Amino acid sequence: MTLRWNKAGGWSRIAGAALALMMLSACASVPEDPAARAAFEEENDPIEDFNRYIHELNFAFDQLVFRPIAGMYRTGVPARLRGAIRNFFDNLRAPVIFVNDLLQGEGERAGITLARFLTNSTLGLVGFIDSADMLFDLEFHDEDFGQTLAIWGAGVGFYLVLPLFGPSYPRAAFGLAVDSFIDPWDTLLRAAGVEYGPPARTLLNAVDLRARNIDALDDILRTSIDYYATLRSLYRQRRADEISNGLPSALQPAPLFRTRDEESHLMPPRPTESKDRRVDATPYGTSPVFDESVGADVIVQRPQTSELY
Amino acid sequence: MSRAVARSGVFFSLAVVASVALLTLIAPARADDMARNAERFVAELAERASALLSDEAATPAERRDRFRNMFRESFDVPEVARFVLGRYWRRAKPEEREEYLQLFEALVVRTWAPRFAVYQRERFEIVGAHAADGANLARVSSEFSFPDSDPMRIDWWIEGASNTYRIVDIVVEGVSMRVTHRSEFASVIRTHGGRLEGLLEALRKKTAQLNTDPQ
Repeated sequence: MTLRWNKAGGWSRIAGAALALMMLSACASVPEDPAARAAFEEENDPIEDFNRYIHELNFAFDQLVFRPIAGMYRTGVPARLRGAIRNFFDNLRAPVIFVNDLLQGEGERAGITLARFLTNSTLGLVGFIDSADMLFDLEFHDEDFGQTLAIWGAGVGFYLVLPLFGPSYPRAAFGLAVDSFIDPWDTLLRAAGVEYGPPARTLLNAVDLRARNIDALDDILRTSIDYYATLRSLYRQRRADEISNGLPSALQPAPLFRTRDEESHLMPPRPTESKDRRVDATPYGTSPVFDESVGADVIVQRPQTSELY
Repeated sequence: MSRAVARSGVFFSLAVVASVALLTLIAPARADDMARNAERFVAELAERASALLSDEAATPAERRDRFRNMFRESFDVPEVARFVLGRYWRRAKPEEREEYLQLFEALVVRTWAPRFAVYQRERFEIVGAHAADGANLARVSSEFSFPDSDPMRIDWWIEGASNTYRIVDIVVEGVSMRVTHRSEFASVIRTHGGRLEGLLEALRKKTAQLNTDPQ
């Protein structure tokens, strides 16, 4: 399972999206009961049967091939070297992050990305050492064109499990294809005649990502009663968190956040505008109303459908 | 003598005025209070967890049981359980509710206690706390750091009043525990034809399986 990918995945993802669109003919019908419909819209998974099928294939491949390889990578390669490899890949991502920072109007973050790239490519020995973070406190952040589209207000589409690549949305998949055009390295490698370069990069990137998620995913698999539904929810929330750059959004619970129309809290309100992480913004309303299902006054907020995941 | 008394009287009244003024200045808004208390609550939990997990006198099984109990006490199981079941809660029969509450508690404790059992005091840091005006609810932001990987961002949602505070959600890197469980449970019920019994059966199996796990 991957939460993010770069390069080479782009085309497969588009193919996957096209395939999924064809599957739409077989999609589930929208429930008439309002409560069931609210839940249906929250899951945003009209092609669930198809998605579950791909999920099962992915899961089998993951358990038989991918996870074991990632496990060998984790035990065979010392932690420090793995860290250096991760730094190297992160540094290669700088052009994509920089362009998307700019496209999102995040001048300061674009500056940080540029400064990091210049520092780490030189002082950091072509990126193997994150000297920008160590020396100047310039922390890594990621961006992709899917997030840029979200900021621009493009709709997310529907939940889509891609073969090999796992959870996605058409918007995110399209974003990755655009990112692969922004990314200069694979083009440079091919121009230099290093044909195995781009696939090797994609593969190692994937193995590293999977290796870092081994414990977390094992734990989720062990404790969940519906692995598919859990991953779907996880991906949706992670994506919203990435798009809001870690700002606590209202997708997070706001535990007192209920409404008299008991299903409408299924609709997460739109995250607030600011992109700073630790802000005083509170995502819920402030007018207590008696809720009979709770037997107490609760805070009510008008539900809004979020486009931001 | 009388001058001295008069002077001390003046001093006394000045002192009263000054302290009243000071109290007014530092008297915090309710939201600030809530945030501060919630932060203290999380900090105390961290201290207790640290003491408990590093207690060499106890066997590992004892430590695990005590940690589970601590988790159970500080987590508002009924409130979270109701939220997670959503619309199915209202339809549930009393005996179904009762069994569901027990199973949910067992699942949450067996899922989350091991995740924090590796906890070490020096690797935990509270970053800040925020509360909503007029709500008995605060978000305490914290970070766990690890030697070989990126720090993990964990937000604790604390609900409470008059010295009783409870955790009502744990949000790891933007992923809310209650939102995830809610989504998962709804899916299980739907795949069982909308019957709550389907969820209860799955929970029975899962908690039994987690019970026999060495962890």
